[in-house]
Parts: sequence; C-alpha cells; structure tokens
Amino acid sequence: MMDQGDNFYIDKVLKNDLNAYSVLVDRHKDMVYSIALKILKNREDAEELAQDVFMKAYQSLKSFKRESKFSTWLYRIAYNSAISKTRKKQFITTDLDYNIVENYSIDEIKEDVERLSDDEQKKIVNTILEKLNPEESILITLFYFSEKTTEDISIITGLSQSNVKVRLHRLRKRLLTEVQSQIQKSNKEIFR
Amino acid sequence: MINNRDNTDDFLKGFIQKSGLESPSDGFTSRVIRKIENEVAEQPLQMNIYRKLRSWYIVIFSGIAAVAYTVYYFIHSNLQFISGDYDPMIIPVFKKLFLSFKELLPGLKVSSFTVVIILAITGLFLIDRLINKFRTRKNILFSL
Repeated sequence: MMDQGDNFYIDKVLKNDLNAYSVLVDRHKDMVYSIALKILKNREDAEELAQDVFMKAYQSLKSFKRESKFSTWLYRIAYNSAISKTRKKQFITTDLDYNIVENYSIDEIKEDVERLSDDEQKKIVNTILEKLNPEESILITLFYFSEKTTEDISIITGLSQSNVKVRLHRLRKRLLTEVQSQIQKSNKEIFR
Repeated sequence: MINNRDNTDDFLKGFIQKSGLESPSDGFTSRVIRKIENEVAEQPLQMNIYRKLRSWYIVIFSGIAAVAYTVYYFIHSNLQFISGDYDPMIIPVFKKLFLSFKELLPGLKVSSFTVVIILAITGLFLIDRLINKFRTRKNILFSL
C-alpha cells in the first residue's frame, strides 16, 4: 500500500475513521514524545503528555486549517503543552560560550568521525546532546531529525524566524567544537 | 559560505541522527486510541443523563417558583385561602400557616420585576451547577 500523506488520513479521521488516526499517531509519536522528554526530562511525564497531545489534536482536528503541515501543527501543540507543564514561559538558557574561535575544519572533523565506529559515534552524539539545554535540544531535534525549515520551527516554538536562524548558527559552531573536543578525548583514552 | 553551511548541516544531520529519536513504551498508539474511544463513548451517555436531569431540575425549579409565588400572593392578598367547606381537617392547618407567614412578614413587598430577576438568577445558578457537575464527571444522582 502506498504511503499516503498526512492530509489523506486527516480526511478519513474527520469522517470518524479512528484507524486512520492510529496511522497518524504511529507516524508522529516518536517526535512528540522526544519533544516532551527534552522539556520535561522524565519518561513517565513525557509519555503522559504525549498521550494528552494526541487527544487534544484529535479533539481540535476540525479546527486545523491546513495552513501549515499537520506535523508542524502537532509539534506546536506538543511544545506548548510541555512548556505549560513546566510552568515556565521562557527557557532558562545556560551561559554557553558562543564566542568560539573557529579553529576547526569541517573536512578534518568529518575524517576524524569516519574513523570511529558507529557505537563510538553514537556515544559522542549522546554526550553532546546531554549538554544542551531544552531549547537548544528542541531546535536540534526539529532541524536535524524532523528536517523542519526555520519557518516551521518559528511556528512551533514561537521564536521569530531570525532568532531561530541565529540560534541555529550558534549551535552549529558549538556542536562542531564539541564534536572535535569529544573526538580528542576519545583519542586520548585510546592511547592511554 | 552557503555551501560551507550546507556541508556542515549535511554532516551534522547524518551525525546527530545516529542518536535516534526517543520512543514511547510499547502499546502507546493503542492506548491513545482506546482513550479516544472511551471519551467518545462517554459523551452520548452524558448527554442522555443530562437531558433527563435537566428536565427534573426544570420541574423542581418550576415547582419551587410556583409555591413561592403562591405564598407571596396570598400573603399580600385579602382572599381566603380556600373555602372552609372543602376539607375541615386540612384547611385550618394551611390557613394557620399562611396567616402566621402574613404576620411574620407584614412589611414585605417585592415588585414583580424583582421576583423575576431573583428567579432568573436562581435558575442560572442551578444550570451552572449542573453543567459543572458533568464537566467534573461526579455522580450526579447522589450528590448536589
């Protein structure tokens, strides 16, 4: 069976086809859960919130105007619900040093990464992602996992598009520096 | 510069995606669907109970309003309540009751407009309680 777009299933849900909604849930549950987990930092709370998000989305589906993608609309509900639950209006951003001297070359970093095994690469990625605060984590998740545009990210998070671009730019630099730093640490451990 | 950024993004995308998204526990989708089915099933039941109880509230409220108006009317009228020939046992009791109300509240005079307003506010209050009760899903039959 051909993989249909979200709108195909939305039309079916609006005709009271609950099976069609289960397809949408399956398709987007990981992302919704990840957004919730990155903000709430607790698996049980994140899962409960994710369920509530899908309930809200189902109840509000008639009012979804399709001006944006369904995923953008859904992730916005997830993001806002998670923020409300933490009762924080703004994220507390850490004092990260964004004035990083760019003493890396992307090609060199690529070569270093390719020398590592998949497990080692995964370990480095997880270490780096754990260092990020929830806002940075969400931006990375939406941009690199879900491949959302800066416009979509702006709709989801409520940040202005220029703000999203600036933050992503800084994050890129930060991530590359962290990758380089983690690889160097990993190399030191090997040679001990 | 844009090419360099695209290069960086391609690399970071591939690298970060190695971590993978987090997944909820098994059976998540079926739990969501079951929750939706339960909520949808509750709604018609609530509406039926609501319709039945709403009519009882209206009946009770109308009855109270009728009795209150009757009492008020006879307090301020000079009419005999009922002819004493009808029932010699019950009527004197009611007659005494109304006469005692009349003595208790001799100066009470309320305009019809005020009575209507009071009844309307009381009615809205009762309707609001009923709606709140269904929202909080309490057992309506055994609590007020």
